[in-house]
Amino acid sequence: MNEYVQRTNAERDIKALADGYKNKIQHNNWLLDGLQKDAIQNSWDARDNRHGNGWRCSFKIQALRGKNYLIIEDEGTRGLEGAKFSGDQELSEILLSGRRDEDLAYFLNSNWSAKTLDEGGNRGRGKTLFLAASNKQTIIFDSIRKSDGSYILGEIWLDSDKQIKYKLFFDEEARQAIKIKWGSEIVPKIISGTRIFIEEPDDAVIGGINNGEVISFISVSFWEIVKKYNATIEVYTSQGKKIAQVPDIYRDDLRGVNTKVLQPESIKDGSSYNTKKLVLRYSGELDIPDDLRGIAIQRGGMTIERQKADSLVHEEGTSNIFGWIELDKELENSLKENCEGPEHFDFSWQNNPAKNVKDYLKLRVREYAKEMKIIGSEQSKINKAQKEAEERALYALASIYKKLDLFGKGVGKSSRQHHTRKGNEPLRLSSIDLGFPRDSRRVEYGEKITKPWVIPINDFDESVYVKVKVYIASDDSSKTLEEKELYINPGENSPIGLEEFEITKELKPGEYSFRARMTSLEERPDLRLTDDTVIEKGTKLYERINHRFYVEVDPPEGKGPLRLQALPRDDKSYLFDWEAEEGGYVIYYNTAHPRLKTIQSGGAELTKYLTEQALFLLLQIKLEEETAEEIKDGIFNLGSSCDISDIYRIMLNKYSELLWEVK
Amino acid sequence: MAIRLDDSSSKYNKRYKTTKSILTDQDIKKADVFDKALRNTIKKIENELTSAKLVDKENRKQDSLLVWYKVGSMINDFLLKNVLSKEDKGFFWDSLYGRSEIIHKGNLIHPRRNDYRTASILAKHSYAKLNAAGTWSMWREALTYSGITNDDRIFEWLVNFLAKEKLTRDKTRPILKLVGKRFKRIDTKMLSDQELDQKLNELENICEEHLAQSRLD
Repeated sequence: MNEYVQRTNAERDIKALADGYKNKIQHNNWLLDGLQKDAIQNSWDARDNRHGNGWRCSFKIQALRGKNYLIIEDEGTRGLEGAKFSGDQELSEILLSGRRDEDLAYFLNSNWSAKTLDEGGNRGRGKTLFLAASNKQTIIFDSIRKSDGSYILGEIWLDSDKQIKYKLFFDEEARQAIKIKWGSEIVPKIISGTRIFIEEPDDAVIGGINNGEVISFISVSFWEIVKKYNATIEVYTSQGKKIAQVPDIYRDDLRGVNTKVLQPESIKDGSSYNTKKLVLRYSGELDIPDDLRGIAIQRGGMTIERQKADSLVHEEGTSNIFGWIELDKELENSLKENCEGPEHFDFSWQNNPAKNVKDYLKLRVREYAKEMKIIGSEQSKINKAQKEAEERALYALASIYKKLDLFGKGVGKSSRQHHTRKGNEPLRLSSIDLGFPRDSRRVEYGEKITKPWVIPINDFDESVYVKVKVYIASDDSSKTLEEKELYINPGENSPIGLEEFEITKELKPGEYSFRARMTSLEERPDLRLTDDTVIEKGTKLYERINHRFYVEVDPPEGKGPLRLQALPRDDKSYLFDWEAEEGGYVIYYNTAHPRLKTIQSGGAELTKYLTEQALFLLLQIKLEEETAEEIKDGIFNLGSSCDISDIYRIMLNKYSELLWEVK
Repeated sequence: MAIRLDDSSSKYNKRYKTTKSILTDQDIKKADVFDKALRNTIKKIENELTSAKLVDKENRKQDSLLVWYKVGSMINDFLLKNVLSKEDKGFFWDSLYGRSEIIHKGNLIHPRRNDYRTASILAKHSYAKLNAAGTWSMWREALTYSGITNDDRIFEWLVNFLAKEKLTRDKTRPILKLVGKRFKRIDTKMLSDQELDQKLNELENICEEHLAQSRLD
């Protein structure tokens, strides 16, 4: 009987691994995001001193002998150390030994790794992702080892028999081999470190490097090592070298932002797992980019994922709480081993100790929100429900105002000058593809807004480096759909935003706007806008995108003249009352009255009751208006009848008619 | 939170203002508590101004900048203890008018010219520097430019520049215009300290050239 080695279909393995990243990273350029995270994490793990002095990592696209390569290069690392094996038998022994410092063997073979838990990656998946990013499934690498100064050159590729193969050269042979391959275009590495060439990378990867998009991915993941150790991560874009910076919201010199730092503590009573630091920050006025929202869960200097504050405490107004948590080594290791996804982009929060960490965050974020007076007592929850029910009542009455010829603020003859549309700006955004489910722009839960994106248009002959933010705003909240830093090339550029956006209960009923704005990220004294403004860093280039829509409510037919106000009073004769005010009417209702007391905690019953009663009062208001202005041919027909009993009958009839129409 | 306003034209002698169209009885209770605390603070401010003889018997201010600086400081302390949402702050500043004859007689002219809000912004900076840079009326004008108020670093620079130059109000006005216009279309918060410093240095040269020219004229 013969023994065989089972053959795996590596092509499918590569695809499966890439699909894993695609599922975890919810944006279009998931491949580049996954790639940068794995590459930098492996490089940082290989740094040759604890604080990463002299460490740097760079990304660039370079054409070599007619092929494009993504070159990822580091310095200040140990290089690919370990035995220079020369055969299968020797290789097997190394892999089975589980020895550390055999980086070369582990790098070349899949699913073998002997990294300690406190290092960033330990599953050896990064190199497989490199192959996935190559349209030719081929990578080449060279490395100078710090330990013995050896030079190594290798090539890894997916062969036609679906197996991953590699070849290796050492020292002089390696120097000759790279010279034969690329001549003088690429010189062998001199400083210790590793360089990886991904052959014919995916178009999205090339685009994201050239337009600088990858810089924001890097800053979002690795801001901690940039902040603490001044780690240098460079990207060579089509407009020159860019260096990853610490996002502003993590700077320590922020003004107008409250910061609270919680010192090390156990994540749960009786647990030996401790935090190292929890930093919570809040500013009601700060515009926090969506990809930085929430509390960043840090491990090994990188952000694994962020937990949004409003999903931790489910309270209105908490979305502007942000910060980060650092954990002690023991807890980091346990999280990594038991809870972290293999792509390093998420945790399984149902497993411990992740669950305990999340519970800890919920508790501390809630306490902080109370300190900041963002959330209040349980009573405020009742008020919130009550307000929502009452808002629905007002919107239900919206169509009635017009029918009764009652108008409020901003309706009727306007004295405002009509502005003619301004001419096109040379740098602008177009939202031409935006679509709503119906013409009225009312959108129900579960329905989708299609193509909430903007197309950047550049009429100049040169690219301009900009930041584009696409978002949805209401009076008291803002949700970013996408925010990108990129070069916009002459002509129309790829859309920024989403393919579609589903309306969920995250958006409470009311009025919203789809908006976008574009700001310059570079000094361009050579370029001017139509009003002769010189483009410089920070110049607001375009802010005109603004499309209103209405979630679960009808668009108002003009702003309603009505306002509801609870005014409890121990007065049996008073259930509702009203008075005129500037631009409309206020209806007072007595929440101390037994009829309202029982239903004041909100819900459908309160909505219904307020709608019906307010409708009756609108008729009363109309009657008083017709009486005061001596309108004989109004809806109460006062010209032909002055009989009070007639008026009451007309009122009841009208009430019935209008109630029939209320939605 | 809603803001309570006394209004004799209402049959209830009061109104409540908020961005929300609906007010519950709980909102009103909160607004009443807030209003009571604010009344106490206004009273304290009045006592402080009269006892320090910063206003005379006819409520004339002896030193407007100092009076408003004190008002701003005490309002800021009040707002630290009584937090308001960003949306309701507008109503709050408007509601301060008409509460005290000693602090201010008369109505609000324009929301961007709210003296209480101006005082609150000024009180976050050093009084000595503000005083060296200009008068209360100059600061009122300066703070109507969004290009000056949107970034603390620009405001600080302006204070230092004006303190150094010691200009009359007429000479200051074109400088304020230059600064306001320079930063009107820029989101300066995107700029690092170094980047903004460079722009401010350039602007300083322009302002100095302008002043030199006006001296020649």
